[in-house]
Amino acid sequence: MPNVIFIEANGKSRTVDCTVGTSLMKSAQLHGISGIYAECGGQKMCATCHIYVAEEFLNTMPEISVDEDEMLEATASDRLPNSRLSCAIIIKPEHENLVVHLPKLQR
Amino acid sequence: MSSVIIVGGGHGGVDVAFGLRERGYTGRITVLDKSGFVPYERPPMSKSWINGSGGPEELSLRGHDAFSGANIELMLNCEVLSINRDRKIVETSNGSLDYSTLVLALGSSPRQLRLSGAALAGMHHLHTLEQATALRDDLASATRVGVIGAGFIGLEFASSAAKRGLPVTVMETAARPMPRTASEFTSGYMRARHEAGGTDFRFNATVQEISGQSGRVGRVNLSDGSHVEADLVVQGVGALANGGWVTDFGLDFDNGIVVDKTLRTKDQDIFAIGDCARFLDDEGGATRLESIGNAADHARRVSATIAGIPVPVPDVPWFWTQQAGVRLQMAGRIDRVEEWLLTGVVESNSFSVLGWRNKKLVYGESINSPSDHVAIRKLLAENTAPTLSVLRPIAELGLKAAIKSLA
Repeated sequence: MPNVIFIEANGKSRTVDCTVGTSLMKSAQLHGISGIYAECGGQKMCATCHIYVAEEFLNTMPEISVDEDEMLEATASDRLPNSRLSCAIIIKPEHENLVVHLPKLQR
Repeated sequence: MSSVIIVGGGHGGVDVAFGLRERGYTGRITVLDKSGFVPYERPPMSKSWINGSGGPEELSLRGHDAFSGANIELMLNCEVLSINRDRKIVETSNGSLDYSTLVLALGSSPRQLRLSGAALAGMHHLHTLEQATALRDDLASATRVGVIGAGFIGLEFASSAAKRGLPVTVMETAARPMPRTASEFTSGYMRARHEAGGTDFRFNATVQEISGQSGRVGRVNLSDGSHVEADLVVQGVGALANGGWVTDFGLDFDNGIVVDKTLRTKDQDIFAIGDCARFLDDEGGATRLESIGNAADHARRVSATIAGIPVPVPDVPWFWTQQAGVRLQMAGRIDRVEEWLLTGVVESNSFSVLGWRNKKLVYGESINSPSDHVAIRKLLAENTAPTLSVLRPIAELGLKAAIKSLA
């Protein structure tokens, strides 16, 4: 099961053992990562599970759908080229040691 | 040591617990829930989960290790028996617990129709994980589905059942779906979408009784003498606040646990949040809302209050539902609307309907347009919406383009 490293805006990091096939948002929530709110429960309707994906893992990420793209325009912290909604990222084996940064604000 | 006891492990209760830790609270935190399940989320139960094969763990809000990691004690199968407000003790089925602050996050329960035949096999409510599991199991062998009530739950379930290819009939006392939670325009649009998906509606329909054979539901009899055949029926006719029992301990209950603007009961150490709380809104009106957005907002404010840090201003109320392949999101207060304005073009299947009072924006619902929804929430929160007369001539551009053209 891939380990994913979540780094909070204040630099604090936590490694979470994620399950292949579940979303990054769900894994973060199950393990109590603070700073992922996911108020809509992963329906790409709220933009409160915004994350920044470390550059070296961008090529492992799925395409950004129209819905996700629209919501990324409405994030509380700035949208950057590596911005994603964590509900749209399904964990795959190649995400071992994936590093994601949490934004300062989710809402 | 200071101790917070949270009664209820739904969205609101869990958010208070983790919200307290996020905000630096270092005392004891205990979450009690009378169910035996680790706190779970409900929205998928009427949508993806009901048609899937995932177990309860797929619905978990937070895992066991998240609770222990944050040093939050989770007491399942635990019921509150009494509150001793003078000694600040809660008696529970697991023994007595001291509190400095008590948070009641008791949720709501589905309204029960007092109908003859309501106890027949095949009659369902969709509120708890146990009910959702029973419904999913029963759905596997159902041949005709009836839904009583065209609210969010009823319609979400109806579209999940229709997706399986089952014939579905929705019965509603009003003349349109979502009569209290959507504009007439959006109601009409959604009705057409459900009908295109194969769902039948019976409006202005009052259920008289349920009848069946060999102990199982067979038909729903309506008061006009007609009937709907169904071997599985879901009742979604609204919910009532839990917590009427708090009056035994001197707290007030009136359609919900009575709290002030800061969500405090008349006991300054006892709060009520979420579905069960009847609070005073921005205009001082007694209000009760049933939504995750409301529970999350209450949780955020109460955890800030308890942690002793600045309390955020109340969020603009917001709601969402997914049905008949449509994402519908609402923000603001529909009960305040006097006038409506459509923005965008219906044929694009992505538009918003805005509600106005005295030419001021008070509400908006977005159809397949999450970014419109986010814009509406912002306009309402910051009170920066253009007036109705300014927006009306350019409404066809769509909300975002219209606002951009004014900048």
